[in-house]
Amino acid sequence: MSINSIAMPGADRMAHAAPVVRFDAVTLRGEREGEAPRLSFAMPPGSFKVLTGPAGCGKTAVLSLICLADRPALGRVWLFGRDTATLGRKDIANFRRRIGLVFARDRLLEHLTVFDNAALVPRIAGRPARDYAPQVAEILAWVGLGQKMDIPPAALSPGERRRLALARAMANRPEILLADEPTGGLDDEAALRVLRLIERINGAGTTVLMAPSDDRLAPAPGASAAAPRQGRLRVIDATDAALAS
Amino acid sequence: MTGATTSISKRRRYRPAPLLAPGAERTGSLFAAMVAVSLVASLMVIGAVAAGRAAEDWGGRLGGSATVVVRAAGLESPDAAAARATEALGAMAGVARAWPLDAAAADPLIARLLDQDSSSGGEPRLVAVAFKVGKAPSGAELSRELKADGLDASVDDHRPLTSPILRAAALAGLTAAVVAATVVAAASAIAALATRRRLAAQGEVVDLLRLAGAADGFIGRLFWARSARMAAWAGVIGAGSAIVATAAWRLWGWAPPGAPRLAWADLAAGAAWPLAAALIGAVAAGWAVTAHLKGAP
Repeated sequence: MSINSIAMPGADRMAHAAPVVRFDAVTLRGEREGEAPRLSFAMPPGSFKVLTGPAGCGKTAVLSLICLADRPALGRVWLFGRDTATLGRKDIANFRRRIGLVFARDRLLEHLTVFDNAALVPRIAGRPARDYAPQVAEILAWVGLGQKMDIPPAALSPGERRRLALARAMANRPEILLADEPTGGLDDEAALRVLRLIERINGAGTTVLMAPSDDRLAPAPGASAAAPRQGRLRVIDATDAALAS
Repeated sequence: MTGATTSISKRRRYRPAPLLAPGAERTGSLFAAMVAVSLVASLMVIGAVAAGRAAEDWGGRLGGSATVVVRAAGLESPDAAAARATEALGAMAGVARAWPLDAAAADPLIARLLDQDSSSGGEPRLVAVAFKVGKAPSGAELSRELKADGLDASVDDHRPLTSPILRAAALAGLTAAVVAATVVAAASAIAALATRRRLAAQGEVVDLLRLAGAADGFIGRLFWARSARMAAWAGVIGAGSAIVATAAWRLWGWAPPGAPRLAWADLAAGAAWPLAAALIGAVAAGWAVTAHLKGAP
């Protein structure tokens, strides 16, 4: 089974003229104007970008702005063609359902089974169980957890937990996947497996923004970047990111 | 692949597990407090229904009746005088019925009336009068009619007595309303406190649900359903205890002085409390969750 066989955002969604995400001269909270460069970048539909920079430079804060958990100190963040400053509470909930989130710490619900964890977002979206259950089972099988659907997450290895988090993020067919430290704490083999899955998700048409925690992904020499100052937060195309051996 | 296919077909009968972690919150003491409030509320409801019924009963009986003291004059026997008075009163417009009272009912009243009216001579007889609704003649009209028939009679109109009873009933109703408001406020406060405790215990889950796109209403429903269930169970225990206690009171016939006599039907009023408690629990939890989420981004 491949990610391409799983229904992903349709061609109509991909045909967005507007970028999925756009930052216009954004300053993160906690940064004083003038001290940090104002961040501007756009993510066209289907693009794959990577946030790089040292720990504490604001990678997670950028993801928080996109998933509407925070507001910028300055500048504007546009999501699905709307200025996020103009969104009401209902809009925020609706927009969040169009975003797949992989948290730095898995944040799995330990009292639920692997399957119930993966089914969280379609369930929240109000879809009937008979509609989403086969799809969730399919995506769990795709990430290699097809035989572990009825066990609690505590029984999974770190790599499996991360893949479950990925399955949960993708279960409602989001338009964009935000992955915060998706390979953090994993051994090379498990990390590579997760990265390959993310790559295939992007290959199927989902826009991806990833904030790796380590140096596995670093800007290749000569890579274009949204904030090109050394030691600062940078947004680069995944094609410009070098996978450290 | 076969395993995955089996799992997929198994999922067609899948029922999702509750999203909130079981037993994460400690609300035992609040449950006990809710049981106590439910007991008080149910006793109050039963008492209010019994008092209301008694007041209506007394008011109705007094408001629609009068007692006439008839004294024989000359050679006429007391019974004959009472019979004439009964006939005269029964023929009046607005009188539903007039009848001579038997000795058992009459003696206590006669003793009181004789004390009031000791100047009159002759052995008195009592005639009871029941009025039609809305057309009743006044006491003065009854007296005039009896005088016109040559009878020595005095009318004891019960209707003036109804106003203090109605005032007392209104006061009792007002007191019951104040107590009810206090009980509802206490139940709401307990339910809201329990919900806030649950929200704190399930903070991680709530945060995850919000970031995954759960609307406030979706999260609210998880909590108000739990709150309503807790309040309903507390209500069942509290109301059940109140009903058992008042049933024992009714069976053994014990009652404090001035307390209305309980009817079996009054006890049924307590059974409505668990439903009211569930409603209060749901509404209070809804407020608590809304207030909590309003502060979240």
